[in-house]
Amino acid sequence: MLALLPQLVLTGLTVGSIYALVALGFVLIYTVTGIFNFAQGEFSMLGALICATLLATHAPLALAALAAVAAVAAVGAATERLVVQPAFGGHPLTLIIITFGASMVYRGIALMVWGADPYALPEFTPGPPLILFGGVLGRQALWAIGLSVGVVAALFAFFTRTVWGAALRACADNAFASRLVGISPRRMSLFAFTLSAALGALAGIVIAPISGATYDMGLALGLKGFVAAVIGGLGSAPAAVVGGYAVGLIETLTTGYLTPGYGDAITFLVLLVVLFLQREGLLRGARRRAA
Amino acid sequence: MDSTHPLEVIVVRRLVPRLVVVLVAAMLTAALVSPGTPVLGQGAPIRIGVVVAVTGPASSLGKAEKDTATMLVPQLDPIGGRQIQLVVYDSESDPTQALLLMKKTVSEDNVVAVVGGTSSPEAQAMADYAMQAGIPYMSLAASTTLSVPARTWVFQTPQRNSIAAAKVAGYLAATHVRTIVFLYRNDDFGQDGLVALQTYLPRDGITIVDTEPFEATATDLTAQVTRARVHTPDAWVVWSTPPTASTAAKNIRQLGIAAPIIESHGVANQAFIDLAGPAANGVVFPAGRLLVVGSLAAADPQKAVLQRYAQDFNAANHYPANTFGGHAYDGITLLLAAIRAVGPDRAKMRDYIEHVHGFVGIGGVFNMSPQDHNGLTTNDMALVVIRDGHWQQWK
Amino acid sequence: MARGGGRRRTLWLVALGAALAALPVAAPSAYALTLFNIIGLYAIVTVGLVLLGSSGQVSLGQAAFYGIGAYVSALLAKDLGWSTLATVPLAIVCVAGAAYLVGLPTLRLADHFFVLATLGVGIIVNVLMIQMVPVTGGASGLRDIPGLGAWGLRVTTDRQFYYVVWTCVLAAVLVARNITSHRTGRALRAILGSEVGAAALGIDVARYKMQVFVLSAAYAALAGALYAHYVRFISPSPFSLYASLFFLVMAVVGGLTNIWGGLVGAAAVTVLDQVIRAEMPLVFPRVGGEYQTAIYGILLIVIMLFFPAGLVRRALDLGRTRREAGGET
Repeated sequence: MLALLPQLVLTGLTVGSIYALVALGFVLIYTVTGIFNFAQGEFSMLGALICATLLATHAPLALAALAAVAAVAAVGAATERLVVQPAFGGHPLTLIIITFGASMVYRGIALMVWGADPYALPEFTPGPPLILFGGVLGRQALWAIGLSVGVVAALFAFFTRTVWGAALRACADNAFASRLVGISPRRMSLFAFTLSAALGALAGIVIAPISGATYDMGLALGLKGFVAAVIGGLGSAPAAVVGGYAVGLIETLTTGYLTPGYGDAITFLVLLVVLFLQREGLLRGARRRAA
Repeated sequence: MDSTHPLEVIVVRRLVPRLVVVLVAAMLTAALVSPGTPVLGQGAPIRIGVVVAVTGPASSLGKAEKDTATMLVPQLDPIGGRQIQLVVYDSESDPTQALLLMKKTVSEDNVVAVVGGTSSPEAQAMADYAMQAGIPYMSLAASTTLSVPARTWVFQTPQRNSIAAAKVAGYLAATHVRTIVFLYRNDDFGQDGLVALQTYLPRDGITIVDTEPFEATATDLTAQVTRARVHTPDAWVVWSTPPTASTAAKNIRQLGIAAPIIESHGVANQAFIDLAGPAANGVVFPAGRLLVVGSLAAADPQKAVLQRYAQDFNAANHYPANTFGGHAYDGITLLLAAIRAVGPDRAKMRDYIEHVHGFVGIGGVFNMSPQDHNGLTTNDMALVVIRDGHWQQWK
Repeated sequence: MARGGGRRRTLWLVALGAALAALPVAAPSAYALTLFNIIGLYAIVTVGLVLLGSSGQVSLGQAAFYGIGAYVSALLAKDLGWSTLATVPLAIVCVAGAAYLVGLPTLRLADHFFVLATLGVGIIVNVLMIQMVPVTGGASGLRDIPGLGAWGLRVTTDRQFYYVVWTCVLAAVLVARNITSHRTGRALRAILGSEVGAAALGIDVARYKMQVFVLSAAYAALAGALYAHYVRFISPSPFSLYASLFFLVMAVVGGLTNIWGGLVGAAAVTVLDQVIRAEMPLVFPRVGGEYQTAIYGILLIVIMLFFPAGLVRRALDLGRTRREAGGET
């Protein structure tokens, strides 16, 4: 029984790192703007599919990936400007429905452009998998874990060492006071969306070599990402990452040790339990209303 | 947004909602009176309805089915001086929509027969209605219960899941496999495969030591594989379609498991190979002969039909033909043969199809009977092995 | 309420009832009737969603209640042979009970989290439908479900079902209107404006929220049970997250707090769906279908931005409620 553990943990960390990246993007937007961005998963889907298309033109992988991330970041910015800004200050349900609408638009467009077939992305560094602690870790999986850790470190440095990062944090803490010192919450909102979209795209490009890229991969990824963000407490970036790994591990451990087939149900059950245990959702920064 | 400018109040708050109500009424009328989208021009009196899942989870099958209809259109010669028309609808893999569209095509387009039902739930809903309405229905889903037991108006053109499972069982027996692990997608396709294998494998003395379901959206199946490998099976059988079918193969190989991998007829497409990479090498699966048409003997009765279909499909649609499109081809051509023989009469067509013998199609050579509304056997499937990214017949 | 207004309203209702009754005669084709029947079923679910919306809550799990209603009634009628006159109400009661249990912990949550919780419930229920193969038939579904019937009378044709469904729709709408017109309605509007404010006014917020939540689930269950006995085949796929989203679109189009809007929304979206299918391939012949997804997304966005009250007149403006606590119709 215990012999299964190393492999399950490694796999859990692999998928967990993807959820962590999605959750990061989600939490970033939430702490700065108070919006639940239900289109977060679609950023990952778009990143993967755009990258696949660029690769088909025989562009080198690094270039294709970078271009895809940039393109999706632009999509994130456009989403913020066109769809979110006009609804700022409205009823929270309005914003929830709007971001849902955005996710449907992206999914629909993806279906029209790329069709329903899965697309293959090559691994970043093809080669035999590594053997660690009695379990097997694919090279792409190592990239996934490495990237999520790297991104968190970079974000940490960004938030603590740069002016923009400090501005974002200020906005997350207190939008009103930030405005008083000259930080524009609207601009921070735009920045948050752009950055989150880029993170989402990265997650999609990293996971696609393992799981393939399809027009509907965003919904499942997005949902798991939300679960991860909520479990982590929606408070901060490290919390989102911890939540991501937690969801990944829960998923693989329950599949490995308990009954298979109920994996998704158990993940969402954990979400419900966490929701109920948190005191009526009054978290740090829960009731944001950036003006 | 909170403007109270008079013009805005008048236009936005009053005019638009009223306009919308009028629009809705107009749309309602339009939807009710407009006929379906004919694939061929106008004035064609004999119509066949085609309701397939061009989009949704079953789209990898349904799109080929629709494109087969598109391909056939220029080849539809008039029968008895009357043009033939194929009316195509997208059910989006939704059984409610499939039923609704079937009712639409029967009552609005006055079709003489219907081909469709890409996924099993859709086909079941459509089959029930076919029985109510008394119209010949060629279902394109592989669920065994569609033709077993046989229902008067319902026929099935794909090799039903039980045949595919029997083929796999035969392969396992021939290669002296005693124990298998069954990984399957947790939907009607996978569950149907499980039931079929549970029926056939014990007859050959093969035991399923473990079954592991997974979601169609799963990104990694290492957990299931890890859990199953403790049973050290002789072979691994995976019942799904890409991308998860490929992910399964990759994960199995990644864990260093060298045992043979057998997949279902759901991987009879290039996407499986593209996604699985080197893991696809050596994978065996049952499929219609279309996949290995090049290596068929010249005397094979299907060879000419298969080659012509592959050529025509590729020319019309610019991508390779697959067996699922072939099921639609068989459904439509069977109906055309019936119309040619007995005219566009529903009951006569049904009788004709029920007694068809030696009808060479893409799925195989059909021999129907009142008890067998599928008409195919394990001989109509080939075992295909993937070598270096190409399909070869396994002998 | 002014006498004249009440009489006019009754006249409108009678006219509507007559129009609905005459419809099957005017458009007797199987397709049209089936379309109307499906619209009717969706209308019931949507009105339930609107009821929930009038207290400021949005559920993304209605498909779960819809589905449980369908499965319970189908199983009781098929496996136990009970009359649908019993199984349908029983299914509704079951779902209402389940909704009560679900509501106890979830209704305490703040808006975003409530939505997420209903999402979670919907997904869990869908997984259970697929997994519990011996009970639900798994992904292959349940076939040969008996049709509606009692005391020797069976509902076999689309037209007969039409009358059953639309009677239920009218009843559902009238009950909902009754609720929102009186004390409960005022309480709900107060809650919609501000829960804290409503509590300060002495309104038992928790009780009212639970009432509408259970009622909306009951509506969905009724529709689900009727669906099962109409199509006579059910599987987990019509009860997925996509279905819940579809119901949301219908409610938003009609206006999340407008009861009649629910009816219009259901009709409009269902018809739009059919029209898109028929017309889009003519405009974009090479592109595969399901343009609906993109169009519904755009619809959601446009409506929430410019017509947050839905496309039906005379509804509360959601964007304004925060400023007009306890406002009027």
